[in-house]
Amino acid sequence: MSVLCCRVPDFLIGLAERQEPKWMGRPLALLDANERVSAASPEARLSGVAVQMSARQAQMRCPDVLLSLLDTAACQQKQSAFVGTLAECGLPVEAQTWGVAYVDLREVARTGRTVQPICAEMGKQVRRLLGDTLAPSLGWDTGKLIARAASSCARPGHMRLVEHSDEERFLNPLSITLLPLPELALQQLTWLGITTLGQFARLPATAVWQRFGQAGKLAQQWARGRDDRSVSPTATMAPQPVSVDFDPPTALHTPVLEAALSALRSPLSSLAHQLQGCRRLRLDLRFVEGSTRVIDCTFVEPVSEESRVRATVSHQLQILEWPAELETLRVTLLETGELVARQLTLFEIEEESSPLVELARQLSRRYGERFFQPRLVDERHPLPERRFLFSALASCSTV
Amino acid sequence: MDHTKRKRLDLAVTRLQRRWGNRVVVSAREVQPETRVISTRFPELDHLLGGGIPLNAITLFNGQTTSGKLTLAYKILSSAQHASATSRLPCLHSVAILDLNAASDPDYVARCGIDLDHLLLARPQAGKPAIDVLLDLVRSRQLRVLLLDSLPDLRSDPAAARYFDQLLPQLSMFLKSAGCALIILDEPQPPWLEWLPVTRSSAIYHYAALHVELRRERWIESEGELRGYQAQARIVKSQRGRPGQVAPIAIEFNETVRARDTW
Repeated sequence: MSVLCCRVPDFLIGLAERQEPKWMGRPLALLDANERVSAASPEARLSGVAVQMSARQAQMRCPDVLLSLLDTAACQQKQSAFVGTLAECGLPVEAQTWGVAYVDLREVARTGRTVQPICAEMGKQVRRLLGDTLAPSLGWDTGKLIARAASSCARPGHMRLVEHSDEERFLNPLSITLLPLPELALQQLTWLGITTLGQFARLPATAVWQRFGQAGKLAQQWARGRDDRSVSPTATMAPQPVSVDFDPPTALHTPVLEAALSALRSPLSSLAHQLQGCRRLRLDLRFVEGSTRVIDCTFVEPVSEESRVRATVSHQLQILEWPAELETLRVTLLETGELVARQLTLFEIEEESSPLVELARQLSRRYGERFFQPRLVDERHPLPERRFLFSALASCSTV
Repeated sequence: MDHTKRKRLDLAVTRLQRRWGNRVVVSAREVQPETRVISTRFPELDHLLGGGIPLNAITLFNGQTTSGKLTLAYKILSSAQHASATSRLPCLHSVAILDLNAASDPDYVARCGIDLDHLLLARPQAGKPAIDVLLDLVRSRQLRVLLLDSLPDLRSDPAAARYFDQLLPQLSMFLKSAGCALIILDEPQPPWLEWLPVTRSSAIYHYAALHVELRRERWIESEGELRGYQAQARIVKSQRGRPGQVAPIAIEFNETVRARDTW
């Protein structure tokens, strides 16, 4: 396998800030149709705003936060253009989430030396499409997880290539939150003192399977560098639709919601075991007088938690106008996708958490990027001024 | 102290230590006095200054170009990074340079012995923003020494100079609470300034705890090659040393910049 991960950090926030330049540098949260936070800017995240919070919760954490509705159509258009740009070279491309996509380079390059020019060219094309403010960071490896981790470690406009021999050394110190495990599993691992992928990989496989089930076993295989998932350009095959007949027909909201959830529980559970989630969901409702209604629920990121699906379906059922009593409900999972690690941003912040960097980051918010640290680039260069480089310490976009 | 009293004291100490921990009562001999000065790495100058430049206060180095004030300041930054309050802990302290004329050479900084991973280089706009950055850096309590390079750049316009003079009492107070030393590099007043109706504020001389004037004496050559220079440090104001005293300092800049106190 040879997988390239192209990741545009803060894709949704970047697009929103481009439309409203006055929002730049301010805490911003984008809300989805259910008025839940679907993306938060680095400034808002520093104040404690997280994805899936309600608008009120976000305001309580950060009183200065700017709340705006996510322009899904515009973002979808940009996302399609982003994936299309990557697909121009004729290689299989799989979109993971907003601004993140995998490219299968198996047919053209398998070593770091051959991959580098291809990655550089793709990076340039994406930058040309999205502009300098949304520069992508690229990561390459033999598996999807390590490629994504490498892209998270790379700064925007840079690439990180991990050779097969370096995989273990690269993965071991990374945070466990890189794995898309449920929050409870991550909490339990932290309580057990397991904080890095290296520690998780060294646990006995049987113990992990007993405690965290199939999802834990799969995650441990990834942590050990054995990630053989292929890059598939089309969405994963979803389970068969489930129909529920109401006898007698009902006009109550609660039984319909419970029926929909019970139909979804089993497929969601099996998806969660594969560390996957539902991206699009369709509810076909047929009423006694013959009319039908279709509800399409599109999630900003793939979900496998019942509570999040319940909130969305409940909201959609409540805003729907019911012409008569409901006779039949048909639930279909239209599209599934890989789960997104919930605390990926925390992992990125932890990477450079020295007090000096933190201080520079705080001051940069007020005074701009005027804080640097000299770094040794080439110790043996004959010109003294070329031996060192001043690197900006706190670019908020990279957190 | 007689035997009975000593025994009763030991018993009381043992009781206290059992209840509150071993370090609750310690002998005065065991207590290391906290370092309130930072060595300049020039032993003769250290001797005159009573150990080095004072922590929690403003130090002013005044001198012409190539008088050695910047090198002396860099050596102090290096010394401050490695000086730990508790000598058993090997951690490095962070230092910062407020580089207003954007002329810091990292190669020279590294050769002076400063650990670059614990160095923050700030290049704000001159004038009021620079003064605000200076205050914020001090208030952050993350830095042991802050070098301001240089005062003429900071006071580039009259409004900024007035603002700086107004904030000096506040700055001194912040330095005391933050455990940070501020080194300011200044240049002597150019002679042509006497002909202009401009007066330079002397507030900084009032608030500086230490004022040292530096002057280059001669170049040091060896086998026809320039090896460094010897400068003279004259104490103008000091809380520990006597004003007017002079210490020769020699600076050699080959592969690494070395400090020599005797010649």
